[in-house]
Amino acid sequence: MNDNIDFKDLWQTKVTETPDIKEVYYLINKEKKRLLKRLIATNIIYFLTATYIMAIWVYYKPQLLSTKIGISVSILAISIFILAQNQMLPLLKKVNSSMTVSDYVDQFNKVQRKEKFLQTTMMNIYLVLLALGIFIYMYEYVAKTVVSVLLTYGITSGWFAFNWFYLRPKTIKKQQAKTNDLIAKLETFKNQLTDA
Amino acid sequence: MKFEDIYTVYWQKVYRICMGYVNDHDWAKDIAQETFISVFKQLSSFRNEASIETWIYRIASNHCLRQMENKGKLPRANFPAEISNEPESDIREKSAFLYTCISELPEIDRIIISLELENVKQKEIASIVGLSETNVRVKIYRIKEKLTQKFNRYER
Repeated sequence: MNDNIDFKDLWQTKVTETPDIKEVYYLINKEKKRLLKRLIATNIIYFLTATYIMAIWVYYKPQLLSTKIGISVSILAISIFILAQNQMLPLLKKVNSSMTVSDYVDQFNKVQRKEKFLQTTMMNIYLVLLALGIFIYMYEYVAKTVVSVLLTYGITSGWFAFNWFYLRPKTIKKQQAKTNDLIAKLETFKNQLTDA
Repeated sequence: MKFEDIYTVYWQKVYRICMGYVNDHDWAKDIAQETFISVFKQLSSFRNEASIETWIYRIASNHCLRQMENKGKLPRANFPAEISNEPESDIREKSAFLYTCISELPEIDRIIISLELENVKQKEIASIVGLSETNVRVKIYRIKEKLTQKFNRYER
């Protein structure tokens, strides 16, 4: 039995070619561009959707108050969704990689739990508000005959039901599986840190 | 300290810590690069509250832990298949075995032992990981014991 193995010596024998520092600079620029593109893309989508809804307001000049309320509720739904997405950014920024490993694990855990909340609650609020907004908004344009009301509301309800009962649980399940995995992993790290 | 100097002095050290964590050259290189990207971005906010070494190792350790997000990618047993009788290759083999053993430890232990083998003082390791110095000492003792056992079994 040999108890005097020089692990440090064996450890230090591992050397590799140091990559050119330009590689790091290149990656830094690439990341900056990627973040900027994402920020622009999110805001453009939001801006275009809002403009589109407002254009309907201006162009079709709705007479009923319900239509205007419908439009406002829809915009509110989209705003809340974007706001929730953006709320993640400052949270992620708080997870500074230069804190101690133990603090880092705690912070990261908090972010993941918050993300879990945002994923489910915010998506529910978003879908309910959007459906509500669209239902109220449509009334003025379809409330001409009973058939048109039944048909339009029927189809739209069907579409929302598909979103609510099929797409929503599927999306949530997928996101939650990932988040739950991360939370479980973070818990093991935490146990490893306390179990000394 | 300028970023270029940090890069030159710490690249190999950071790479080895990442290598101890994942035991895969390309993956370790990627984590080391992510670490230096963070170092570059955060260097202006570094306020000497810790030594630069502690600070860099914290960033490297946390980037290693973040690898949990790469699900499906598992540390690889990077063990050389060919065995020759040359003394130099014997050391290389043992070194590869050491990295394999370390990458099989619990994650936090991998970080602690890598830092220890990188000659980081136990007090510094404690402030990198966020544990007490006594805890770190006990952990290092236990990990080394485990590694010695594995080596003895391997050499038999």
